[in-house]
Amino acid sequence: MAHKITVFPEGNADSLLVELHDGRKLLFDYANRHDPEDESNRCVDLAAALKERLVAARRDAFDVVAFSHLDGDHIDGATEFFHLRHDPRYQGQDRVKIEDLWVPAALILEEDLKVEEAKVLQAEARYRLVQGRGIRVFSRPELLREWLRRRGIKLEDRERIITDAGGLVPGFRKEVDGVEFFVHSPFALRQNGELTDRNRDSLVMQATFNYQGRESRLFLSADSTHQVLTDIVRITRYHRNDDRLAWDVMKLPHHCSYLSLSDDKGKDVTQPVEDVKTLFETFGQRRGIMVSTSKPIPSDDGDDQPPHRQAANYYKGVAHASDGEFVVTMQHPKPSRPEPLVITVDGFGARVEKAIAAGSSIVTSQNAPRAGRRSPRAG
Amino acid sequence: MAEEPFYLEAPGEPVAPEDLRVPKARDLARVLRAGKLQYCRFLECRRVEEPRKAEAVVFEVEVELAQHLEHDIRRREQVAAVFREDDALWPEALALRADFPLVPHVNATSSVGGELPRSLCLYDEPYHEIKLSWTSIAFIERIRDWLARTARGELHAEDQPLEPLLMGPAWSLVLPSDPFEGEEESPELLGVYAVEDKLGGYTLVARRLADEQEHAGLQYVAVSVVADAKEHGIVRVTPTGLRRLRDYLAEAGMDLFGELRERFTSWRRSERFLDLLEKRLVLVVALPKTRHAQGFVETSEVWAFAFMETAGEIGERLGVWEAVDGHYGQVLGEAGPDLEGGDVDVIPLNVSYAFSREEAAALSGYGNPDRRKIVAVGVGALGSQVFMNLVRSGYGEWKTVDPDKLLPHNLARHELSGYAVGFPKADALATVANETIEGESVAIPIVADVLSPGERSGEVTEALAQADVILDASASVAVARHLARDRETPARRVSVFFNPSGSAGVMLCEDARRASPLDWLEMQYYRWLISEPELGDHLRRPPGRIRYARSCRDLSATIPQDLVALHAAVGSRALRAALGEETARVALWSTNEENLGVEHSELAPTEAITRRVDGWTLLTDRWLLEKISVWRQKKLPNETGGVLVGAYDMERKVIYVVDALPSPPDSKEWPDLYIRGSRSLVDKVREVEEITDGQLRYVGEWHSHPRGRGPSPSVDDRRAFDWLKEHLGVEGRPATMFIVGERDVGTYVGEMP
Repeated sequence: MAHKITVFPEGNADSLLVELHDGRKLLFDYANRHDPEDESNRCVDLAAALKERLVAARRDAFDVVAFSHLDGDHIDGATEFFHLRHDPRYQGQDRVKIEDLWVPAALILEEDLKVEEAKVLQAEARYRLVQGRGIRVFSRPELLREWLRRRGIKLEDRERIITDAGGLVPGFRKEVDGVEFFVHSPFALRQNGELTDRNRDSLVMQATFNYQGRESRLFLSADSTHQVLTDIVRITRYHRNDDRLAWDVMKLPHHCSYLSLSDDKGKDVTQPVEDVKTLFETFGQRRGIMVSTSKPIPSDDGDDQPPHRQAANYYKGVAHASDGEFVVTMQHPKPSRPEPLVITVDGFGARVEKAIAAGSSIVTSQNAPRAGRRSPRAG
Repeated sequence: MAEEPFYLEAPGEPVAPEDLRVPKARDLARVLRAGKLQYCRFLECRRVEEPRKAEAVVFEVEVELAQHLEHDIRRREQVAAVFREDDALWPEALALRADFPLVPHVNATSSVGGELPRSLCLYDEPYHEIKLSWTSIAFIERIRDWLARTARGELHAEDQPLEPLLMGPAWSLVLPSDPFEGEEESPELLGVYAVEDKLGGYTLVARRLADEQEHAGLQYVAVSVVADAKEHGIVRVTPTGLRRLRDYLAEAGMDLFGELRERFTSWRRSERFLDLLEKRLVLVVALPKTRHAQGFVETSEVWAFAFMETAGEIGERLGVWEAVDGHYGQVLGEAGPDLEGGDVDVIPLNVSYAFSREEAAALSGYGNPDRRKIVAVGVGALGSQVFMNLVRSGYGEWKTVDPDKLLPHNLARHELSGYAVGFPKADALATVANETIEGESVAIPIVADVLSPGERSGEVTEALAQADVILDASASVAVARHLARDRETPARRVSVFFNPSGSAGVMLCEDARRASPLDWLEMQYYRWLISEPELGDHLRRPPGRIRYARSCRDLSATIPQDLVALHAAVGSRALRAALGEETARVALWSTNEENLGVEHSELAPTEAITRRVDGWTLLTDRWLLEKISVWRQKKLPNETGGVLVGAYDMERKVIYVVDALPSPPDSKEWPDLYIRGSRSLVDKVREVEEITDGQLRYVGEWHSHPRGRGPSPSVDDRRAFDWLKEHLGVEGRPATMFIVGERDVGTYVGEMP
């Protein structure tokens, strides 16, 4: 079995599932934007789609669930879907368990959260950290010392579940497990004494898959701005870890926002700042796949919110030059009926699955229209 | 990014989609133009007049392209689907990109002729099968799948045979399974017979030439040459002339004309081959192939070509000799490099190989052939079919022993056909086996009756002595007993037969040590019949069936061939399995003649206890001695007893004591006295005789001694024994009495000590 990456169409929101060749399942962000009441809503029901995959694998848990940060487009609906250990109100038969929860330090440390869902997830992460089980926190360890001390816990007793930027996540070796994870962010440079900024302290990682000796890399860029990406490129190159910037599959930052490329949107094409340009044009591999987890690309500039057509045009140019692909989740395979984007990772690298969905394969994959005689209105 | 590709024009002239007439073409155009499918885009429609009427739909597909490619397939490819108006062949998919690579599974030439545009070989199923589930979408998906897999180099599944270098001819050549085994300098010449296939083609069957006598009937003679190794999978245009073939082989590092000249010259020197110059030539070329350019040689691809000219004519045109008055004379001086005159037409041949013993085992799903020596005694209906089942699966080195010739009535159920009427079965069947399996003979016939082999006695004795297995399919108890008792050989004996109604097949197989000899297995089989109520009818003869002889293995009954085939199928499989194990087997397969279900039942055979007493050999077993010991125990402190059933072999003076009947209800059982009663006893014994078709009968008496007493006979016992002697002696049978004592059983036959 090859490795499989599935990216769910949830509008401007992230949900990416990695299924390893051995069946392990790792979910990066959960944001269910499906709305059964709204006929124009084309988002996939993420809860149902994920459960379907778990049932098929006879599982009731994900091996890893990572939240890059606590914004709604990365966590919406998570507290309705997952079994949370810290509070029985979030437990029950049909909830899905999390073996290992991956969070950036900011998710533990952030104060005065406004949104209830974020508060609940933070409580869960904090509970697990105090318990010392079922969690991995991405941070410079020192940053958590005070928080732990106030709860009577020594940092030394939790260091094994804390991973600093510039290192690999323990427990995954590409030779054995078929994948390893390199942590780019959160990084110390930005955390030291500065105000917490979620998008700067988000979880950014590079996964390197190994399949029969062929290595393919997935870059998970969260909602990074061009400043964050610039820092990542510079720090990584400073440490001569250039191969940690390479990607065969790129989850594009922030739903195709121009701000991830430059402050200057550009007329038709956003020209990225130098280091970001390097990330895309030098480190992007031949026939690489760029995935914009976003709504369809607009044809005009009527909406300030991403996706921005200028950013999309830049990515399309990168795809053209490398014989690669630029895929928008809400347009795949077509805007009228988006489907989860499936990327196979095997001995031939990564490829987007492209089966023609038509005829009976369509009929059995969706509900049939209402049939039968409707009951008479009265009598 | 690759250069913008250049596309070839699709065949024919543009036509409006509405004007298409071929239904499949219309449907494909409709589906594409509806624009509802992802990953494909309609381009145009065309009509083709030459070489035959067809219509084409041109479209672009998007390929599921991986990052790392084995072959240069592009993310977007243009394809022309060409539909013949008569719909007689698969619609053809032409890849229109001008530099579309030469990859595996591309047809040698397209319907429009030539290598370009490349014609994708999409299907390996016959078109009439594909038609049943044809949809335009499935066709498009097939093309997209072909492109995606070809890009990854996956269209060749690793276990698939390699691509043949030449495709599609209607003539065939059957080669020996090891055609290049001959001496290296001059691979063997093969004689070739031509068989017309009535469809306009020929199958040429090549065989090694044993001697010159064989030359006369040949139409062709075959020579073989071996080229250098070559990477596989690139189908080229089939050479249609000798020059083109020479050019192609030059790429594989072979000087074809030089090779041929050398061969012909060597023939010319040897008188033995001179008459072969009049035969037409078949050329066999071995091309060792590797899967990748620098890989090891994986298989040798073999091509073959037939020429319409004789070896002599071709030799003349190659300048090897000159024909003078119908004789070929040596040309003086160097031959020119080329062929004289026009090109020589060549007919490409599809090569297949003779059916070897290895192939027989492999095609039957058994890894290797099994070469154990088997003597088949009796090759009648069942025997001949079991034999051929095993031969066809590469099992056994056989001797077939049977005195009978094939008579017309045998054709109802025999493996042999009407061609063999009048021939000895053993002979004809061995011939069929040896013609089926190529190479050294798998069967040697001995036309003899194993019971009275006459002048073949030495042959039969030797065959049996050297055998690993003796398969008795004679349907004769006498033959089975003879094989079991009269022949000195360590071979395991096995009997297969079916019951008189044909409803059940039986296998009796000795253990490897022969502790349960065949005759003792036969006795246990009878004992099984009388103890198992469901088997009560097993040997019952169906009314109205023809009977030639009174035998429980009656062969000449009116049993249909399908039942015989069924028992032969079960028998050959069971035999193979039984001989693969060390243990003895008594197994029975009953067919339900209404629903044709087959039910298997099996007995756990016991070892025989053999005693020699008073000129007689007694066979019994622990099972029986324990049975009567238990009856003694139950009746203690009283004595008890009953009668013994079994069989006599009067010829060999063997008595088989097989079973005991319990004490009749009117018997007198006291602590120091037993008088065996007789109520219902006659009926009970008759029942045993009926169930076993007379094979088991009354053979003697048994009784028990009280607590603390051994089995030595008392005065009364001796008196009773004398009474038995008096009555049984009239028939020439010995008196037999078993006495069960405290610890053991006394078995008395003929005389009491």
